[in-house]
Formats: sequence, structure tokens, C-alpha cells
Amino acid sequence: MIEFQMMTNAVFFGAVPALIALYMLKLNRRNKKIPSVHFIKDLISDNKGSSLFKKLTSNMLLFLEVLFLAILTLALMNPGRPGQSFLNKKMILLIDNSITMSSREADGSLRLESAIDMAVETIYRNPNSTIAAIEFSSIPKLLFDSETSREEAARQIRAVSPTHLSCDYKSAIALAEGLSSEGSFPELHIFSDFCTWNGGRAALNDKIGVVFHPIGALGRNIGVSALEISEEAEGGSTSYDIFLTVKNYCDYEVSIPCSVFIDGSRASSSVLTIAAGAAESKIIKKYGAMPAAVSAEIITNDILAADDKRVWASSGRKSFRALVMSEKPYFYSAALEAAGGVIVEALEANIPKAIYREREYDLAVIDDSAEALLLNKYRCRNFIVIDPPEGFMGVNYGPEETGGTVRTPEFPFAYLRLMDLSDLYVHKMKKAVLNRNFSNTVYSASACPLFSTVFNENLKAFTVFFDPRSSNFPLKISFPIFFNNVINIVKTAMTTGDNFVIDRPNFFSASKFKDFKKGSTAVIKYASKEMCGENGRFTIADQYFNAAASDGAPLLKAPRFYMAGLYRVFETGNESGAAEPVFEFYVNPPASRNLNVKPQAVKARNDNKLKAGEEFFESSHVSYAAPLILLAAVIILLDWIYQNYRTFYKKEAGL
Amino acid sequence: MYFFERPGFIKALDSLKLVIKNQARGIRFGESRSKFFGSGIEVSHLKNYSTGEDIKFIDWNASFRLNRTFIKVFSETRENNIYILADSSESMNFGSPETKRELALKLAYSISYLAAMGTNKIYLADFGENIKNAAEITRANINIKFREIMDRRPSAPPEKTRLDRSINSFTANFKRRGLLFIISDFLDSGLSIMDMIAKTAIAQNFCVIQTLCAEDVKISDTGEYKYEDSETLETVEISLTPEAAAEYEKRISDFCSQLMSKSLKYGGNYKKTMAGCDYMQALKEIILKTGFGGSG
Repeated sequence: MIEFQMMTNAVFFGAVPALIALYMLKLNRRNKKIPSVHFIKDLISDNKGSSLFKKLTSNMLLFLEVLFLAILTLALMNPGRPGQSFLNKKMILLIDNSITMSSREADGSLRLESAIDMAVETIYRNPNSTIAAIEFSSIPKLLFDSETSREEAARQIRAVSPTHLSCDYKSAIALAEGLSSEGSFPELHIFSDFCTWNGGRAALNDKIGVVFHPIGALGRNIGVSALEISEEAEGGSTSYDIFLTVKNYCDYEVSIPCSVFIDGSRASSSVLTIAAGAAESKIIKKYGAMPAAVSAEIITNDILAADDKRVWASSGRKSFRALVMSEKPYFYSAALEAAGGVIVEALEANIPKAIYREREYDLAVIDDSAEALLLNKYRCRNFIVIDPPEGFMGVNYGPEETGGTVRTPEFPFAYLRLMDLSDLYVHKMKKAVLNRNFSNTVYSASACPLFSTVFNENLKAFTVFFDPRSSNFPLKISFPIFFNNVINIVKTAMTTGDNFVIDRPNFFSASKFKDFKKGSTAVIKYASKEMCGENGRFTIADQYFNAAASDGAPLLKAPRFYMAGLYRVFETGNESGAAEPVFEFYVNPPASRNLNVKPQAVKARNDNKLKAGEEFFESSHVSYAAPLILLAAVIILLDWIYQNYRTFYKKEAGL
Repeated sequence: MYFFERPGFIKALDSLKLVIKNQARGIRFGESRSKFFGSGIEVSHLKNYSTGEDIKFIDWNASFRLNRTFIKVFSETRENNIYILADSSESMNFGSPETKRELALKLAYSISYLAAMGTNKIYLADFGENIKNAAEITRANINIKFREIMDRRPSAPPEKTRLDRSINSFTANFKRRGLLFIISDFLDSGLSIMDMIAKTAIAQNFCVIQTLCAEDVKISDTGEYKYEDSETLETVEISLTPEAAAEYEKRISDFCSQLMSKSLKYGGNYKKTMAGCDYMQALKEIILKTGFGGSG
């Protein structure tokens, strides 16, 4: 008994007449006037006939293509016979409709819409499972339980609308637990942006498998987390205060543009600068009447842009002063000014250099070999030295080198982490030997340092061992980033971003472990481990980290993390009980620029202990689509061969 | 310059003579033998002398030998009626460098010229959808008539071939039987026209001269074609394969064979000529092989 699962795909048969029509139109018939068509008409009526099949067979290419189309359509209709497979399960869908789900992504899609689409796709992918759905914000609401009709389930899911409430996973998961019954294999699907996810507060029993469906650019965990409206009576008149709370769950400070819309019109646009570590910023608007609709717009792209520049506003001073000591300062000035908020002063020919040395700057860019040796005479303590001369901080030069491949350092420095050096071609540089006592090579090419850092007690120097203006370095992009990051490092007096991302090399600043006892080890605990069951499906094992192995290096290579979320670091021995962690850090999923959105899916089920009975198998469809598609591929190959043969034949025959 | 004004053309014709063997059905005296007896020079047979008959026709030799009086009966020679119908439809304008129409007119002129050398009554007409320019041709007016025919501009829209209608129309005007020459490509007429030609009142004898050109008998190009009929403007679309082209050539060839066998079946003659062929050779074959005449 053949059954078709996707009958709707039969519409593709409609392409057959279209193909034939196209073929007919495509035939480039040559017009020819002849004395009489009497015999040609005879010829056609006798030999060809009028049946479609005869016409098709006279044109083998068309025949093969129509056959291909027909078989492909048949395959798309997914013919097959009924069979048995798949575990019959109950799926509980949790759809977050809190205020953060009202955010629009860079592509313009609303997070909630994406979540709904993903949820509907999930239920159609599991055609025979029973479905329950819960929408949740601060209060969970059961949409339906034990629904089997996909259409009805999809209809109800599509009716979910956004709210202005905050998100509470714990109560939603508690409700989901209540829906799972003994003996069944419930599967929990959470569709959320996980902006306010704190797994520690959400407890699940160990029999429930969880599939996370992250929505949106999770790398930038920032968004409106609360909306409050309060009435204020003042002087006999009533007004309403609207508080929008914007939280930043990133581990670094960001500046983002945020627009508030009240009753459909833009009430304010401002740039919020929010500190790292779940800091929040509030927007307060006064409004004369009770607003019907309030929304805030935060565009992720803007967050990215802000992040790339790392405009740091925590510094006490509003402006950042930079000096360019170069005969040709224009390039460096432009790159510095691109940072924003930087006052750039450049060397002028008729002013003695000593005057500049005495002035107070936050950063000096030196592109002058003689001047580079006089760093100690500067009041400024932070430098970017371009193409330093021999003797600069113990630098020795060997023969000249040209070209070379960029070698990634073992410890990439935060200020160069975002720079793409893949296309770097260094025109010419000398082979430098650094003074290992206080220098670090950041990037090198053919054993020649390209970038290095020199730190001593008094000064910080970031050195560039080539002339960027005579190399193909992607100046417009990378050098401003380099400068901006150096500016940020100078501002914050730190060399690590501690910007942890899953499945990438991450580095701890050695200073984080300065209070550890000698020889003790750090334990990194995933703060959301309570989510995991006993069978290890979600367990992130504790990771041990030997901080003493740093050997004086400023950065320590951290283990790789495969789960986004909050991690806590304890000193060995203190990890149990109610001990306070030494520090916490948050691991982000990859940034949206290279985000390959995959739910942080459950690892393979460890079902050794669980023997599923017959009742857990659902009827399924053993499809014939694959062999049909193969047949279609063979036919299109034949079509191609025939086409080429015909061309060859024509050429050979001189027709 | 008309083809009959070219040097050597008439001279070449002068080397031929049209001898018509069938019985003449003309009224006037001519040089073809007729079924009538009377004054003449050729003795047809002898008969017994009856009183009152002119004694100068008594065959004395036979009378003495048989001891009876015989008188010579002479067969009369009369003029022959010769009808020439030349196709002037649009389909005749094909062929290169010489068109079928040019060949047809050359043949028509030559036959007319040769016939006019004798004492024949020659009627020439060209036809398309109907008979045009039916006229008697004499030695005096032959060139004038052919100039008129050749100077006529082609009609628009293109003229179709209606041989059946043309013959009916022609026989309505000319009643006396004679020798009928029909020069056409016969491509639209089909074989049934042969029955009509054979049975037509004026056709004491007939000769079908089929003029074809290379385009009629061979379609060598293969590919996608949209053919347009030169006369009806009807279009036919065909994907012409080598097999189809070969089949077409076979059908044309079969058609010509059937045309010839039908002609012979009705006692007529058939000659296929190709535009651009050796014209004099074709003409000789027509007047010799078809059995009407011989070299002069």
C-alpha cells in the first residue's frame, strides 16, 4: 500500500506543461518558403501523429526532462509504505513571550516570531508525538495539553503574543514538569532568547530531556528586561512614569542605541552605555496619559558596532588625548579619530618635540626611530611604536625579511583578538629579536614579530614591527580597531577582555588568581548544572584548572567551554557548600557574525537503564523518495549525455 | 532579352521537327493524316468503281491485274489542334538559376514554334486559379504572345494552382479534339487530376510535362523548420530529421512514378524535367521519346 505524505507537492506537476511550452517557445524554427507543403503535411500526419507521446519521443531531451520532472515530483510527494520507527514521546514546548522576545534582530525579524516559527517547525518534524505548549513570561500559561492535531497546535502557538513582563523560567519549567506523566518520555523544548537565563534557579527532574532552542543573537545578551508604568499625582494632575529597564548580560560594557516608542510614535532615542555583568540602565519617560503601547527598539547590529569599537565610558575623563609623533601623521590621526571621543594632536614642524614630550597625553603614537628611543622623556606612559629602531627596549635586528605568513600566537592578546590578519602582507621588515624579559610577541611572521607588547613598571608600549603604510595591511578596518582597542586597554589598564565564547580558546587574566594559595587548583563549575539529570545527559563536568602553571604569564589558557551560561570558579576545597566563588564569568554563544545557531542539544541519550517498550514506537513512513531522487538524477545525467552526444553528432556530421 | 531572342535558340529549334502521328481533327487542310477521305495525295485504299466517279483516280494497274475496275480513295491531310497549358502559379517561381516557370515557358514556346512550322492550329494558355491569355499562336504572333505572357506581373496575393477548374474552363471554349500538352509541377494537384486530363473532351492525346526544381525533390537541411506554402501561405512546423528528409524525397519520387504510370495508363505521355537541366535534351525527349515526332 503506497501512501503519499506530501500530496501538496503534486503541484509541481504543473511545471510539466510549462516545460513543454518553454521547449516549444525555445525551438528556434527557421522560416522557409517552399513551393508546396502538400507532401510535408502528409509526412507529418503519417509519421508523427498528434499524440503527445509521439511528440515527446520525437524530442528526446524534452522527453527525458519531463520524465525527470515527473519522477522528482513523485519523490517530493514522499511516497512510501507505513512502518514503525521513532520513539513516541510527549513534547512540551515552552515559548518565551517576555519583553526581551520583542527585540528585533539585525535581519528585522522579531524574536518571538522566530520562536513561534521554530516551534511550529518542531511539531511538524515530529508528526506523531503528543504536544503540550506553555507560553511564559513572569507567569506561565498552558496553551494546550496532549494535542495531536498539528494544525490545531500550530494555530494556538501562532496566537502567542508578546508581553511586557519579565521572564521566569522556574515557574514555566515547574508547570512543564507537572504535565509529564509517569512512564512517558517527555521532551522539553524551550524557545527563548535566554537573556535572563539562570539555570540555577530552574530545577528539572532527571527524566525530562531538554532541548534548548536559542532565539536571536545570543552573543549579545542585552535587551529590555522590564517595563514598569507608575501613576504619579502631582499638583492635582496625573502623569505616568514609564520605566524601561535595559540589562546587559555581556561580560563587557557596551553602548547601544535604544529608541522608545509610546503609542506608536518615537518618544526618545538615546545611547545607553551599560556596564558588564548584568548591569542595568533605566529609561524613564513621563507621559500624560496611560499609554496603550510601549516598546523599545534595540538593534543588534548597533550593539555589534558599539562592541567593535569598545567605546569605554567608565573613565573619569570624558575625552582621551592622543599624540601622533610622525612626520606624516595623517594616517595615524585618521585611525585614532575613528575611535570617537579622542582628541588627536599631531606633530607640527615648527614646534620643538620637547614641548610635546612634556605635555600630558593618554597615548602617543611614535613613527620616528630617533624619538622611539626617548620614551622615558615623555610624560605620557602609553605608546604605540611603529617600526621601532634597534635598541628600542633591547630590540636587536637581523637581516631584512620580506613577506611571510602570519603565525597565530599561543596567547592572543585581547587588543588584537578582533583583528583579521589573514590577508596581511608585510612589505619589508627587519628580523627582530626581542628582549624576552619584558616583551611579548603577539603576532609573528616567519619568526619575525609583527606585533609585540612591552610592559615595564612605568610604561606600556604596543609595537608594530613594520610600516603599515607600505604594506597591504587592511588599513581601513584593522588599524582603527587596533588603535581603538589599545585606547580601551590604556583606559582600563587591563590586557584581557575575558570575553568567553563557547568552543573557542579563552584566556583568564592571571591577576584573577592572585589570591590563590600556592599550588592550589581552581575548580570551574557550570552554574546551571542543576538542569542536568543523573544519567549525565546535561552534566557539564567540573573542570580543574591549574592557575600555578601560568609561570608569570599575564594570560592563562582556559579550558574550552561547550555550554553557554554562568560559570563559577572556586579554589579547590572550597567548591562545596555555601562558599563564595572566587569569581564568576559568563560564556557566550558565538557572536552573531559567525553564529551557527544550533540548539545546545542534549548529548546522546544514555538509555542503558531505560528499556523502551513497544508502546513507545510510533507508526512512521518508510519512504521511497530516496531511490526516486536517485532515478531522477540518473535521468538528468542521461539527458546531459544525450545533449552532448547530439552536439557532437551535429559537429561531426557537419549539420 | 527574352529567351527566344537569345542567339542560337531559334536555330537550335530549327534542327527539330514535330511530327504528329495521330489523326488530325482540324477543319482546314493540313499535313497530318486525318480520318477523312477525299482529296489528298496519299492513297488510303481502293474501292470498286461506280459510275460517275472521276476516271482519273482509277488504279489501272490493280484493275488490269484483277480484271475489275478499282478506283483509288485518298485520305485527307488536315491540320492538327494543339493545346498547350502552362502553369503560371506561384509555386512555379522556384528554382535557381532557372525557375520552373522559365523552363515551362521555354518548353511551351518550343512546342508552339515547332507546331507552327507545320500546318497546325495552336492554342496556348497559362493557368493558375483559372485560364489566362488563351490565344491562338501562329508563326506571326508567337513572339508577341510570349512577350505578353512573360511581361505580366505576378499577382498578389499569390496565385494558387487550380488545374481542374482551368481545364474545365479551357474546354468550355475549345471543343475540337487535339493534342494537349500540360506543363506544371503538379505538386498540389495529386494523382486524381490525371483521370480528369485523360477524360477531358479535347484530349485526343495528351502529354504531361512535369517541371520540378531541386527544392521540390530534396530537402537536405535538418533542424527545426517552419515551412510556408508559396501559394496558400499555409505554414507547417516540423522537426526535420535526416530520416524525415529521406522519407520526403522518397514520397516525391513515388509521386512522380505514379504520375507517369497514370499517364501511360490513359495512353498519354509523361516527361519529368528539372529546372536548370539541359533544356534541348529535355525537349528532344518530349518530342521523340513521347512518340510524337523526330528529328527534322
